[in-house]
Amino acid sequence: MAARRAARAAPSVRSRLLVVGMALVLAWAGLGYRLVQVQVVRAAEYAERGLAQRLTRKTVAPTRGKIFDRNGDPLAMTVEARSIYAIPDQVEDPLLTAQEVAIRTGGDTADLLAALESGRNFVYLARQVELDVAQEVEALDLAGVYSHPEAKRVYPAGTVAAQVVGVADIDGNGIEGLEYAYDSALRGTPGELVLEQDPAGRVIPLAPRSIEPAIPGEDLVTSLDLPLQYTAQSTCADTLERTGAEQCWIVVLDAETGEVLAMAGAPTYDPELRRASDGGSFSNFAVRDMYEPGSTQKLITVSAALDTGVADLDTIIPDVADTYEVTPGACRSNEDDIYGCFRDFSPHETRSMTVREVFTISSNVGTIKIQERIPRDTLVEYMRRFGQGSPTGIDYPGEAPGAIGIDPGCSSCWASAAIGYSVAVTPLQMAAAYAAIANDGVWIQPHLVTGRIDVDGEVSTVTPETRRVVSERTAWVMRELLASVVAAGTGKAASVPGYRVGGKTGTADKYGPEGYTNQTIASFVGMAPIDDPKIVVAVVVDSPAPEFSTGGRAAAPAFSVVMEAALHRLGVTPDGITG
Amino acid sequence: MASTLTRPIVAERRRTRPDIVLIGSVVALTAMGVIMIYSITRVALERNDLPASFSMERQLIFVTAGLLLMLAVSRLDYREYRNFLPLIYAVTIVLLLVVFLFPPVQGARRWIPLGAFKFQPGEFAKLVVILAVAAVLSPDEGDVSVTWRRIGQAFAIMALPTVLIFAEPDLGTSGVIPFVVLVMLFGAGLSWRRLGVIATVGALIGVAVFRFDLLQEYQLNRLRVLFDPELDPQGIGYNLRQSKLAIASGQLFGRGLFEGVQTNLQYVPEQETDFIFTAVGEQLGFIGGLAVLVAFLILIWRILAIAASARDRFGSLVAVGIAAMFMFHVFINIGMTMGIAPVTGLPLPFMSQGGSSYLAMTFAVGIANSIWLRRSPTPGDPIFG
Repeated sequence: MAARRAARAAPSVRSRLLVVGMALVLAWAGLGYRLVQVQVVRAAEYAERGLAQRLTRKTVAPTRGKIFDRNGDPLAMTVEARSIYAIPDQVEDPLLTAQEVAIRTGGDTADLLAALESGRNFVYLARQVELDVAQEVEALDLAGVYSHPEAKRVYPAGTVAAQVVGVADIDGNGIEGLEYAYDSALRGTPGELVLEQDPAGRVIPLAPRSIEPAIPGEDLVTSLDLPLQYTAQSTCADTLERTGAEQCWIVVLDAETGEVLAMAGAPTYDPELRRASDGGSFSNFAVRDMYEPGSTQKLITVSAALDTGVADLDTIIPDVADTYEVTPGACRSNEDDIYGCFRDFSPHETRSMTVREVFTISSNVGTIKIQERIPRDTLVEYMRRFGQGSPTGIDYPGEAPGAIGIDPGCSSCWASAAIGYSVAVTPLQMAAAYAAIANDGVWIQPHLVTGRIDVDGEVSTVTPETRRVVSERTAWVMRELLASVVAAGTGKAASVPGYRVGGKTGTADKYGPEGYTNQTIASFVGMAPIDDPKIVVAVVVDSPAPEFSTGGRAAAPAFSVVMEAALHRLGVTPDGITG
Repeated sequence: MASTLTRPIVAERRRTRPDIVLIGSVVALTAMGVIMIYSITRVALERNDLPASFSMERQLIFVTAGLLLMLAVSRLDYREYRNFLPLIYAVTIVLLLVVFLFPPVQGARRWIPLGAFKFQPGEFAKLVVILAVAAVLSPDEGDVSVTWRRIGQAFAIMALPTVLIFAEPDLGTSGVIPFVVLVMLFGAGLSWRRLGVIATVGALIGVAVFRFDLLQEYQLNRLRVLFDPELDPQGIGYNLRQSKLAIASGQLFGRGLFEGVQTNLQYVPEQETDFIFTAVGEQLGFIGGLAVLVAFLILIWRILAIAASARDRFGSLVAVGIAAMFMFHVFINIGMTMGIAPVTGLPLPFMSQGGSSYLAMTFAVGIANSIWLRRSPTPGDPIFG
C-alpha cells in the first residue's frame, strides 16, 4: 500500500518519461528514415543534380581552315589577333581614352568616344588588331580598356582571287565565294571543355572533367594558280581601260581536268576592306552572270552537224547570201532583223561556202543553213550536252544555270539559237563547252577545289563529273576549224607566239531592260596548243566602246595575253615558231 | 553478510562517478563538429589569405571553455540554482533587452558584442526558463499536481523571454522554449485533458500569428519551401536544395573527409553554423550521418535516464527540460537539412560553430551530470537505469 502511494506521487515523472522516450525514438526513426531516403534510395538522382549545377561548358573555337592555290600559296588564312574592348562604366576619361586608342589602332576618335558614351556595358574599340598594337594599348593601362584574343581572317593575296575566295565575316562565318561554299568544312568542329564551377561562376582550378578538343577546319587546295590569276585580273583591268568596257570576265580552265586555273573579273574588290567596297563587285560574274554568246555558239551548232553526219568540213553550203529570212518578209526593215531576219556581219555576194569557210568568216546565214539540216530536237539535245541550260555544278555558290530560250511557238528561235541568241550562258559554261572540244569530246565539270586536307593530313580529292558530248573525230575536226579562225579568220589577234591557237570570236548585241541595245558583249573562247589542248581561256567583255565592239577587237587580245601566260605557267611545250 | 557491508560503499562510489556515456557522447559530437568546421571553412579562409585553421582554432577556444564549464557546473549542486532564480531570471531579461541596443547583424539583433566575441543571451535564456519552470512545478511541500495555476505560472515565466527572442527575431530559439515547457508540464503529470486544452490554445495562437502577419516574409517563405521543395530553387529554395544535394552526394560512405565538392565550393550557405550536418552527410556519407544521429540518441537517452533516477522532482524536471531542448534542436536542425523541418536558425548542439551555443549546451550537460552525481540512492527504473 505504501509502495503504491509512493509510486503515485514520486514516479509520476518516470511514467511520463516513457512517453517522452517513445517520442524520441519515433522522431529519430523519422530522421533515420529520411537519411536513408536521401543518401541511399534517391542518392544517385540527387548526386546527378548536384553535379549538373556545378558543371559549366565552354566552347573551344576551332581554327578555320586555310585556302591555298595550286602551288601552296595561301589565299586565306587565320592569324592570331586581339580585339580591344572597353567597359564604359570603368572608363575614367572617355575623351582621353578614345584619343589614345584611336591613335594606335587607326580608329576614329569621335566614333570611339560615341561608343564609350553610348551607355552600353561593353563596346569594342578595335577588333582584330595586330598583337603589337594591342600590346601598345595595354601598356597605356587605361582604366576600363581590355583586350582579348580573337582570330583574324586574312587574305594574303589581297584583291587577287578575291572574288573566287570570297570572304568570311568578322565572326568567322563564310559569307561569299569559297569561304561560303566550303564553310562547313573550313569552320571545323568546336570543342567543348566541361569544367566545375563554384556558385559565383569561378572555375575550379582542377583538371577539367572532360575535354572535347576543337577539330580545326579542313584546308582547301584550289586549282587556282596565283600568278596566272594575277595575270588574268590585270588583263581584265587593262581591257576595261583599253576598250572602255563596263566589265570583263576571264575564265582559264585546265582542258584535261576541268580545274579552274584562274577566274577573274574586273572591277574587283579588296577583301580586307570589304565593308568599304562597292557591293556589286563582290560577285563573281564569270559564274553568276548570263549573256547571249553570239558567234561562239556556232561551235555547238557546227559540232552537232558534224557529229550527226549531216555535214562535214568540206560540205558545200549553197547560196549563202548576206541576208536570210527565216520568217518570210522579216527583212523589210532593219529594226526587226533578229526576229526572223538574219544578216551576216559584213555584206557579201551570194555564193556557196564550205562549212570551214562558214565557220572561219563566222557567217550567220551559212550557220543557219547548216542548222536547218539538223533535226530541231537534236540541236537542243547537243546544246544540253554541252552544258547549256543547266549549271555546271562548280563548287562555287550562286551559280547561274543559263537558259535555252526556245519555245515551240517561235519559228525563228532555232535559227537564232544556232548563232548564239535565244540562249543565255555564263562565261564558265562557255569555257566548259569549249573544253569538251579541247578534251577530245568529253565534257568535264569545272571545279575550284582539288583537295581537302583534314587535321590528320589526310587529303581527299575531287573526281569531277564527265560525259561524252561529241565523238573524238568531231572534236578533232572542230579544233581544226577553231585553228583556222585564229590563223585566217576573225580571231587573228588571239594568236600566241610559238603555239597553234584555236578559238572563236563572239559579238552579240547586248540585251537590256528595253530590248536589244547598240552595245555589245564581245567575247573570245579558245584553246591551245590546238593539236592537244591543255588550256581553255574564255574572255568576255561587256559593253566595249564602239571601235572595240567585236570579240576580235575587245576580247581576242586579252585572250592572247592570258593564254600565253597560262601556257608558260603550265610549262606547255611550244609547237614551234609560227607566223 | 559481506555483501551488505560492501554494498553501500559501491553505491556511494557509483554515485560520485560522472556519467561517462553522457560526457563521452558530448566529446565525440564536439570532435566531429570541430573537424567539420575545419573542412568547411578552410577553402574560404585561404582564399582570403587567412590560415586554414582559423575558424577551427576559434571554435577550439569555445570548446575548451565549454568543457571546463561543464566540469565546473557538474560540481555545483543543481539545487542551489533554486535560491538564485529570481536574480538569474532578471539578469536574463535585461540581457535580452540589451541586444536591441546594438545594430542588427543580417537583419537580427541577437548578440551583445564583447570584443572579438559576440554573446547571444537567447541561448542561455532557454536554460533559465527550464530551471524556473522546474522550480514552479516542484514545490517543496504539499500537492505537486499540475494545476491551472501552476500552468499559468509556467507560461508566465516563459512568455517574456519567448516574446523578446521572437522579436529579435529568432524564430527557432523562440520555438524551443514553448516546446520545452510543454514537455516539462507533460513530464510533471499534466493531465491529457489539460494538454488538449493547451494544444488547442496553442494552435489558435499559431493561427493568430499567421492571421496578424507577425511572421516576417522570409520566415513564411521557409515554411512554403518545406511543402514545395522545388519552389524558386535559386532563391528561397536555394538553401534547402543545396543542403539536400550535399547530403545526397555523400551516399553510403561519403566523399571522404575534406573531399566534398558541394562543401569545398561553398554551395551550402551557413554551412559551418546551421547547416553543418550537410558537411557530415557529404564527406562521411550515410554512415557518418547515422553515427551523429546515434550519438545524439545516446546523449538524450542518458539525460532521460538521469531524469528517471534524479534525487528529487526538481532534478527530474530540469533533466526532462534539457532532454526536450536537445530533442527539439537536433530534430529541427537535422530535419531542416533534409527538408522535413522548416529552415530556422537553430544550431546543431556541440557541432555548429558558435560560442554562446556551445557554452549553453555544455552548461546544460553539466547540470544533467550534476543531477546524475546527486541521484537517488534507490535504483531507478531499470529501463532508464
